[in-house]
Amino acid sequence: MGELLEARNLTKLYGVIIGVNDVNLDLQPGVIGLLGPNGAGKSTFLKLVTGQLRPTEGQVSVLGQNPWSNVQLFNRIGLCPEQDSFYDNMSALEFVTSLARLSGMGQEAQDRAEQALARVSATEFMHRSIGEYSKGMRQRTKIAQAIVHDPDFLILDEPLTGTDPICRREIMDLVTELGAEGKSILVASHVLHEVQAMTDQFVLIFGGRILAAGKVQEIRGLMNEFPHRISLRCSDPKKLAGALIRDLPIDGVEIDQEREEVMVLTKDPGEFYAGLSQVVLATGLSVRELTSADDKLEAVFNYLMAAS
Amino acid sequence: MPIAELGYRPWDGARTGVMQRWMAITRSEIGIAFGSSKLLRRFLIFAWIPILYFCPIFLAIGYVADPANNLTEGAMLTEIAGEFLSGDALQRIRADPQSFLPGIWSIVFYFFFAYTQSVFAMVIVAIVGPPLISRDVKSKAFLVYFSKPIQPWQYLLGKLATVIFFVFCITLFPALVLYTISIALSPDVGTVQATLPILLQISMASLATALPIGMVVLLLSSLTGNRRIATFFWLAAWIFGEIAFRVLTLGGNFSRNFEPPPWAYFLSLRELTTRAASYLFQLPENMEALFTNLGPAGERLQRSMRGFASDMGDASVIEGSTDVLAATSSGFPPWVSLLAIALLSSLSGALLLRRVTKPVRI
Repeated sequence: MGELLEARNLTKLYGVIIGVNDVNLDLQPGVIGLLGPNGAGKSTFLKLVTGQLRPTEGQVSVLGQNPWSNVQLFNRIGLCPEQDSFYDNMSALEFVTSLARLSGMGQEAQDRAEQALARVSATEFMHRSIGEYSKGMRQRTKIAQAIVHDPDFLILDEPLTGTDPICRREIMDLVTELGAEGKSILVASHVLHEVQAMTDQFVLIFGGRILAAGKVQEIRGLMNEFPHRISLRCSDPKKLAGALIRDLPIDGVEIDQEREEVMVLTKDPGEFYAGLSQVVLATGLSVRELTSADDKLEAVFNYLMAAS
Repeated sequence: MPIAELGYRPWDGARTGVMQRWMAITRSEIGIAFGSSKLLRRFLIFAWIPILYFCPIFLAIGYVADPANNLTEGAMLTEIAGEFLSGDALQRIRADPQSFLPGIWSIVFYFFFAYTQSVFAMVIVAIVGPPLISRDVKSKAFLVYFSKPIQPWQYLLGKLATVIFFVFCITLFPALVLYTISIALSPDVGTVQATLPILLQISMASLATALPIGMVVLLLSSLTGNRRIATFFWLAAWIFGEIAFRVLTLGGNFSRNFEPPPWAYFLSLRELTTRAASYLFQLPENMEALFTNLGPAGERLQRSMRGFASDMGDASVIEGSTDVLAATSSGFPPWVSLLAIALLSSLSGALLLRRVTKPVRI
């Protein structure tokens, strides 16, 4: 298989609002995470990729073809949209079967729908009305309709939103399995660690522009030039801050006595975490809470924005 | 023991043709409508009740027209036919049924379409039509539909075919049942051949009823994400249009010389479809031929048709066969209705396409 996706100066304007801004991108087949905070331009980018919007400028090619008004291309693409676009009084089986027929399946549509639903562990509830489904069941149904016609390229828009931990795990496993079977998958999400569990290849989008694209290590490398922010809460933040400054690689500390919080800035989070428990034990303090402000994708983008 | 593979498997089967894709939408919508609306199921049964009225008429006409049947043996059917045909007219028809039956059948089918089923069609469309696109507007289902290999026109065709199917359920299908009963009682095989064009008339009249109202209701449905609002729009368009038409043509009840403004007929969608049906059933030609051939013997038939039309609510049909013709051709010739229907359907279709493709035209 050649290029999965190729964008050249891809731009989409909504009047004076920029949805996607001069994007140049080459993606090879595989599982790819499209990461960006809400409003970053992910949905616009996906709509351009799936031919549901026409670029204002530039061009995009998917599986070697221009997706705009290219109905035949949808034989090879499966889309799981973010919104729940269901008829509540239909069952998952009826819904997926009818969409399988739209994909050109004849007699075998129902069998294929059953197989697709089995693949997403939806067999148990596939005869019930969709109106009775939980968010997780709805997500599974949407994924089933996206894979029912055995597409080469699967596009999942926020597939884990609102799902419970078990469903989340199953969907992640499914994506990994499909990827191992040779399918190309583009998973759009705003949660870094979720996508990280499915792939190590990312495209980061923010403000309609591609901030970075590549393997996670490469992006991390970019991030490590900037200090990570780590918050620790304990009864004596001053004492803890002193010990941390003395024994660990730290670039700065902020103390909030009222909240009993120490905010640490470090460019070497790996070494910091490795030595942290030793230092805390030595102080005899009890750390109530340890959070990394950088777990949030916005923080990643802030770093990358600063870098760019 | 081998473990069966129940899971998902790659698929590389042959795909159905493009023309079959829209049928998937129709099939699915019909299933949803039947499954979710008890009112629809009940109304479909109710809308077949006129068959009970028209069936004996066809039975009686078929029976008495057959020279092989003894009129005294089938006294009841003869009596029903006697309501329409005097002794002389009856004898003329029995002598040459193939010349008279097609015309009589066409006229009765026209009444079946114009006075009962056209009203029911407006009602069934109010039940089935409004949610068809408004539901997709609300749930943004376009996104899913257009991520499959179908074009917007196929999507619309699938939705339109759903409305057409339900309108056919109360126009075409009962009319075919009536036709079959009539054929079963027809005097000879020659009658089948002579009345075959009626099948085409029935189909065309059903389509002329279903197409414009289907297009209009889908257009209204596409304007909102709320099915109740779409239903309200439809009922308002139908009822207020009908009232306006009735008011503007009211003078016809009092004066034979009254001429309503021609545009009044365009206010009522039902009137337009009815007039189109009169054109398709060749009502003027059939009536003229029938009454000319039967001459004075057809007087009772003429009276019955006047009475029938009046009973059914067309107050403008008051005097003689020529008035029946006048009622269906006043204002403008009936073929103009057909043209108006075609234009209305095309315009609605174009607007619908714009509405449906709006998300991708940003």
